[in-house]
Amino acid sequence: MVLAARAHPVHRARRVQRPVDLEVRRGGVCAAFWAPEPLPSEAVHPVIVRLGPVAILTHDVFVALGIGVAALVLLWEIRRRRAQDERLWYVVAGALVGGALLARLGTWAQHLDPRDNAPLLAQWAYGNRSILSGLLGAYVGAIIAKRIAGYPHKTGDLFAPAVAAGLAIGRFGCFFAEPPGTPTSLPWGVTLNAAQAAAMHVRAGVPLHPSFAYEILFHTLAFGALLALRKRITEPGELFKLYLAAYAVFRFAVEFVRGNEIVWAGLTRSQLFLLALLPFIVARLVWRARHPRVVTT
Amino acid sequence: MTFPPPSGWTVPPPPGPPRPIRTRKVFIGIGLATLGQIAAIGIGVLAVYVGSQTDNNDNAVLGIYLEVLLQVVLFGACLALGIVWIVRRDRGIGLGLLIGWAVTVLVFPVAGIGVCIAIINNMGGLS
Repeated sequence: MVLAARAHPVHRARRVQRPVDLEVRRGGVCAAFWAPEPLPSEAVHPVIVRLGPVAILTHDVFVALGIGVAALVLLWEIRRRRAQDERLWYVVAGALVGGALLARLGTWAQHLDPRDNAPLLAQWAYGNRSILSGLLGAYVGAIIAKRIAGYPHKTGDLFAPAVAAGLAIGRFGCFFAEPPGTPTSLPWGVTLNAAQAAAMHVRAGVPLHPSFAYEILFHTLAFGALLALRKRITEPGELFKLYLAAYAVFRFAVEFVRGNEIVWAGLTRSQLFLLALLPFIVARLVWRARHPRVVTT
Repeated sequence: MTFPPPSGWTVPPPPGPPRPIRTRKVFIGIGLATLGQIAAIGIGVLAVYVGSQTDNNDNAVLGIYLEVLLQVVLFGACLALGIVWIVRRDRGIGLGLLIGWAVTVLVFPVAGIGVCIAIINNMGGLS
């Protein structure tokens, strides 16, 4: 028996029962791995460098780059707004810990029947990393940290450009390493050769939507828009809300060409996740409208 | 000379010395968490490698379990030590431990398991 995760992490590897359940799903584990051979395409570069038998994944390198750039942008924004406050360290820690936890574990309950879900440790070790659940975790973590540290101000506007910049860079990793999207007749479709298509479980020789390029474009434009709007939109927190709302709408739309598994009513898990959040967002907006925030600063 | 009757009131202790969060200390904490992550990965990989050299190839799988276990231990250690450090000692190091764990877990952890799996696959899989 060969452990299934030897192949590229986006492979839908066959499920093995023992000793470790290693079903690797789309957008799944990304790390150093044993790549059989470099894929011969120019469109897909899952491996950025090889250190002996170990391949360093392009995806991981871009995740690290995205985190680094996001940190720099956050620092820049804090200084620009003259918001230096040591309690922000708590908020950063809370956001990162919450984001890391839910990014890894947020996709655990994929099936209504709990027996179909991977064990929690297997999910932690080999499971997907989800941007959406990671953002939710970061949001919740930041709120908790603000309560603990006694930081009274909204922090979303500080984080918004950093998140957009980080995601724009991090998504390059997905672009180079994950299945592009659904078939398209548009001229910018990405065509995979037989080896790539077999590795990614998509059709060969068919132009596919470069869905991650769409997302890179969105976050890049969002980053520019946030920079342009940050002096015009002065109500605390509004800039961040605008970005999150725009991303939610965009993500819901781009899921139609992402090629993710459709699980119910023609919708993917990400779309259902966004729909599930909708009532909470509406309820919060209604509550906020009825209880306007008193700004004391 | 008469003393006032005991009232039961006590004098509150004086506030402790200020404990500012220094950026340098935060990065020390991040470095410690990163070292912990590298150690966890290294030990797991080493265990798989040693296991793969034995006659029974299944021993190598124990290294994967060890790797996963070490990740859990690292999480608990960073969380507990981070909180203790924040509350009682240097807040910068405590926060750095939490931040470092979160960043490295987004980038590193599967790397160790990936290498472990690579070693097992390289020796032809499990019997």
